[in-house]
This record gives sequence, structure tokens and C-alpha cells, in this order.
Amino acid sequence: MREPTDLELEGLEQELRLPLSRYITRSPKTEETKALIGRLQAEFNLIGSETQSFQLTFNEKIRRPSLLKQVLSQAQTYQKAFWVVSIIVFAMLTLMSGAASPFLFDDIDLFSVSVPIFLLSSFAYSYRSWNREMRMVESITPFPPAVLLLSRLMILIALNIVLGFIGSLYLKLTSQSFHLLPFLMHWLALLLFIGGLLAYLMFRLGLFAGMIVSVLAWGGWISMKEWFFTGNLSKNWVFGMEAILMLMGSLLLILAFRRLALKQVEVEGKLG
Amino acid sequence: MITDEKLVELMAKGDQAAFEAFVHRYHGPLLGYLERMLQDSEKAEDFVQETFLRLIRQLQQKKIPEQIRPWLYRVASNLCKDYWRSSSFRSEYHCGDEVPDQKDTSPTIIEIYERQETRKEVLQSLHQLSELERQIILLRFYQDLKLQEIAEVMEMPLGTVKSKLFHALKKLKSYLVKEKKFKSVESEGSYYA
Repeated sequence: MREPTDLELEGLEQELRLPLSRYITRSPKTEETKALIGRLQAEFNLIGSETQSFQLTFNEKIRRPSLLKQVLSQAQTYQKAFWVVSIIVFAMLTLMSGAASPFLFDDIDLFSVSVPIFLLSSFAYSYRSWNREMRMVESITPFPPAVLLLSRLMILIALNIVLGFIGSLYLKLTSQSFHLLPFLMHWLALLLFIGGLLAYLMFRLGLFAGMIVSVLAWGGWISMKEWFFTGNLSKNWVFGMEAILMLMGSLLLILAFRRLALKQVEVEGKLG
Repeated sequence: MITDEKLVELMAKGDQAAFEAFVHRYHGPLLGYLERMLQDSEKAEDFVQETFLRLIRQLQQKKIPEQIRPWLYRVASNLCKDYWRSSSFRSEYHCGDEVPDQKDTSPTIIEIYERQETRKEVLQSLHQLSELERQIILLRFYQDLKLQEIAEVMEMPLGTVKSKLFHALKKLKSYLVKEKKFKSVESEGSYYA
């Protein structure tokens, strides 16, 4: 089929414009158009309601930062005073432990008692629900508050582990009779378990329930440990139980991460 | 004048005035196009409504068509094609090659007669064309679409549209010339009879 030139086509169009223009159809009356608008109105109103209920639109090109980036950015929200106080607390704990004996009563050391409770109290401080600026940041950030809380908990666990390790190394260097591994296991196992339990429960039962259960777990473990030692339980048994506690804590942290990742996928799916 | 694209953009934000203005703007053109395509005023009115509904649903999903006018005519054309393929059309449409009469509300009997005659003549000539050619003619002559817009409606290259339009016009011309000759012979015959 030959393609016509524009001139040929134009000529033919001009020639047929008049006869074809005789085929007229009726135009709708204004009332008919109004009736049509009336029939379409209900469907159109859905657009209005959707725009009102969904005002936040996120730029899909901006990639959601990883949890590591989130942790680093959240670390910057802590004031200098917080870091200084934390260092002072651990320095005091280390010095108090080294001054006489690292153990408070029988085999229960000061670190095991204090480090988990320091974690819980510093987490309660970092929740900062009364802080207006933090509430504002939390209300406009595209991340669910749970991500912020988990990243803060990660910061605090890491801080406790680092400062605890430094304190433990100091005790090892200053005392010949000090056994580093059992000492580390005592406080680290409980710290990880309490941290994991708090993270896990926070996603299921909420922050306050998580805090209460964690404090009870801490108290329960300290009482049980005292009972173990008075009952002359072998140190290998205690070591084994602490290893299990450590594993459980790590597992709970992983489960909290998994739940968070699933939640994020769910939210992205709804937005997409 | 506010563009179609701007009106639809406002509609997507729930603007009532833009919605009404858009329906007022396109009710007539779409109805005319669909009436010529379907030869059925009631069905045409239904399909006009359906075309607008599809646009609104598209906006509900935050998908704003880039070229509004071609998009509307493409949807309207597809509705016609689906209808022609449907069993309800086959059972309703019995008249074969015969062109159906349409109600005309013009005032005098002579005018009614003349209009119906001219309309029938053009309609018959249009029915000599293939469905595709007829659609191109309707979009070009009655909806004033640019050739590029027709290409977008039909989803075919511009060259193909030009070529099909040219051949459709040639067919129409030859048919109308034949008709004219036939009528003049017929009227001469009746004069001498």
C-alpha cells in the first residue's frame, strides 16, 4: 500500500469535508450532562476521600536506609552527657569490683547485677516520650517507631558490651587471680538475654510490658543464681546454663529483627 | 483555556469544579463519536458513562494518562470493540447491511427527510469501509483529532494512519460519486417517465 503525500491527503480531505459534515448527531443537553455528572459523582467522591485519608506520599526513589545506618544516625541523637555518664558508671563498677572482690555475695558479681539494670534504665531514658522534639522526629519519620526503639536498644547493648569488656580487661590486668571467661559469661549472658527479651516483647506486647518482664527476668535469674550456688551446683552447670541464656538472648534478638523486617515488607507492600 | 491534562490533574486531587468542567467538555464529543460508531443512542450514552468511570478509576489508582484525549477515545473505541464481539450485540443486531434509522428532532418534515437522506447516504458510504477505516474517518472528521492523536488512539504508526485514511477517503469518494450519478440517472428517469 503506497503511502500518500501530505498534499494528496490534504486535498482529498478538503474534497470530502463538506459531504461528510452533513452527517450530524445530536448534542447532549445541559440537563443530560448534569445527570451524567450525578451518576459519576459517587465514584468521583472516592478520589476525594482517598486524597484526604492518604496525604503522606513518600518518594519511592529514596531507598530505605539499612538498620546499621539507622543505628548510626540514632547514636548521634544521644547527648554527650549520656556517654560521659555511661563511662563514669562503668568506671565506678570496675573500680568497685577491683577494690575488694568482683563478687557481691557468694558468686554473684557486681557486673551481673548492675549491667542488665543499667541497660534497662538507659533504655527507659532513651525512650524519651516526654521529649517534645523527639516526639516530633518520631511523628514525621517514615520509619515505624519500633525501628527507632530497636536501633536505640542495639546502641545500648553495644555500649554495655564495649564498656563491660574494657572493665573486665582492666580487672584481668590488675588482678592475677581473676578469671576472665567465667566473669564475662556471668554478665554478658544476662545482658544479652535481657536485651533480647526486651526487644522480642517490645514488638509483641509493647514497651512497658517488655520492661516489666525484663526486670522480673533479671530479678528471677539473680535469685536463681544465688540458689544455684547455695545448692552447690557445679560451676560447669552454671556455665552451661549461662551459655543457653546467651543463645536464647541472641535468638530473641534475631526474632525481633525478623519481625521488624516482615513488618517493613508488609508496609512497603501496602504503600506500593 | 485550561488544558485537559491540567483538568485531569486537578480531578486526581478531588477537585469538583475540574471534574464537572471535564465532563461538560467531553460529554458531547464522546457521545457523538460513540453514536456514530454504534448507531445506538442509548448504548452510546452508556458507553460515555463507562468511559468517564474508567478515567475516574484510573485516577483513584493515581495513574494519570499522559495524553487525555487519545486515551479517552481509545477507551471508548475498545468498549465498542468489546461490545461488537459480545453475544448480546450479535443477538440484538439483525439488520445486516441495512443502516438503522435514528431519531431526529429537527422541526419540519422536509428537513427531516433531507437530513435523513443525507445522513443515510453518508452512513451507507461509511459502511463500505472497514471498521478500522471508519474509526479513522470518524476521529478525523467528527472529533477533529490530529493524525498523531489518531495514531495514539489506534496504537499504530503515523504512516499507517495516513495511508489508511487516504485509502478510506478514496473509497468514500468513489462511492459518493457513484451514488450521485445513480441518483441523477434515477431522477432523470422519473422525469421522462
